[in-house]
Amino acid sequence: MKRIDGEKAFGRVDPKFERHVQNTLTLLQSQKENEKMKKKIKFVPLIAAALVILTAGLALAASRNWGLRDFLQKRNTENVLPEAEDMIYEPTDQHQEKGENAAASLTVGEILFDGTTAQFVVYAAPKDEKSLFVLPDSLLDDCLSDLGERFEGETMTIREYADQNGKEAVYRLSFGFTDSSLFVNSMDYQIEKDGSMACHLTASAEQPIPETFTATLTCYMDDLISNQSIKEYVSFTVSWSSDKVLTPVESTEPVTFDGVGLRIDRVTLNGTPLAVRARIEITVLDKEKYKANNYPSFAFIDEDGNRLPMDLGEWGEDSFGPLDQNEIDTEQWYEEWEQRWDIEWGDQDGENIEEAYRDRPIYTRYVQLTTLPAAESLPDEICLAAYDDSSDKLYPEQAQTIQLFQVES
Amino acid sequence: MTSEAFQERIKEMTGALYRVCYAILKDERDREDAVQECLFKAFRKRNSLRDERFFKTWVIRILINECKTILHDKKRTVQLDVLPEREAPPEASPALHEALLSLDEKLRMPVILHYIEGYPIADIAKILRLPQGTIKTRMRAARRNLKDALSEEGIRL
Repeated sequence: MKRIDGEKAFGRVDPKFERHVQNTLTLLQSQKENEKMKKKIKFVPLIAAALVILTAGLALAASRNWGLRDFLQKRNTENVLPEAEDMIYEPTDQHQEKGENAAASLTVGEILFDGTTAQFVVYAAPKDEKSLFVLPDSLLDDCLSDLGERFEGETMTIREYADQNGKEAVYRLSFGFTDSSLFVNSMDYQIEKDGSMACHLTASAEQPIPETFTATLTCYMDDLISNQSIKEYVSFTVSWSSDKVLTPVESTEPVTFDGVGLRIDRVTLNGTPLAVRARIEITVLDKEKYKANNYPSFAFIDEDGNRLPMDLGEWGEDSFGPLDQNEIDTEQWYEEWEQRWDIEWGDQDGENIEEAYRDRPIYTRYVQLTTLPAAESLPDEICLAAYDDSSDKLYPEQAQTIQLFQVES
Repeated sequence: MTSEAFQERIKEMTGALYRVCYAILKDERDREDAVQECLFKAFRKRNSLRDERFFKTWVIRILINECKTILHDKKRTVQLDVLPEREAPPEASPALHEALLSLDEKLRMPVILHYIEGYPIADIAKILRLPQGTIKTRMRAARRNLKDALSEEGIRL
């Protein structure tokens, strides 16, 4: 049998798949300085970006730049408090450090930071008319109209447009912080009418952070024509005020959820005008029950037993990790499980994958982090129920009310 | 391996990554999730690879595992027979497309890795963690099935 042509077998590589690979590589590059890959970057889907553009259309028509207030007003008002708007500021001390060939002028427009989650709007303008800025997932053969309203109705490709308009470089732009204080979680882009790019970044600080510090943002520029990559940098002061942070509350007594073999040792809530963030410390008391119930987590429920919404404004998802990093070495945890899993795949052709999953090593004590919509004050009582995230099943019989008390400073 | 070298190597094998995902996962979003998770893992562990000559083999193995994880998760939540069957893309031969996808998965992957991606039997054995003899047996069976399916369509491989 001869070689089979891949295109005849499964067609051409789907451009969306190719973009996704490119996008992931770009973000890996932007995160490499941190080498902190635990957290998965969320790509804001194009449809979400399109919604923002549509809803913010009037504001955009009036002013060149897409501002952070547009974003908050149009997308996020249900989840943040009105005073969040007062926290938005423009950094005055920013300066662009000399990049490799000064191909872009970078300006940080507005910042909103509550000490945990930060939102930035950054503008990048080409230094000359020979450059075209495109989205971080753009390809030369994409239709020009994919770049947004500036090119609405255009039918030519980016390559054709560049050829016809004397563009010698077509830069795909993305951003990342080069210090270790902040980690980019999501990015949203728009090409402005003047050819500059407005980018909305959401980032988070995963450890306590000073109320004032200097951040350095790197703009990664990949030229799709020459395949050369360059970088530009802008440094600026980020500040936040602990005055806006509510006094945290926490539980004092452990609560047991017998049916699923778990115990909540402590719940701590922190509140700011942007969100309420919960930290739930959990001990696995009965591994068999825990496994039998498909490794449940916990959900906040209201008086009627319904699950409270998560704060989608932060693009949040629950995250999990060991309470004590020394309990299980994370790398080794993965290595061992993957090794075992691979062997089972190889030996059993995957027929025993269920068994492999059942044998997955688990933490004895772990932490669940959840983000909820912002609130004026923190509650003195919450109700938590065991929850199977994979099947979206709530265990109402496993719901418990937990008392919370203010944490002494 | 430097970050730049990693990127270059991955860009070179984008086609292979796509076809491996395509062979296992029906849903394009699942394929994107699988390749993203694969790249995160491979990037994180790139310096643990002792011999860079095995980079492609190593990445494909991670990717197959990610695809199977997604398949497994999906089996728990979705009845797979509810998902629509796939039509051949415009550039593909419908008969070949259908013949490959109708092969049992254990026969399909060795054929794709060998006859499309050009991997030698020894590398496929490493990727799938199977003895070379098993790979050969599966490829014989796959060839027979493919020839039967395609001869009905008047196509010779």
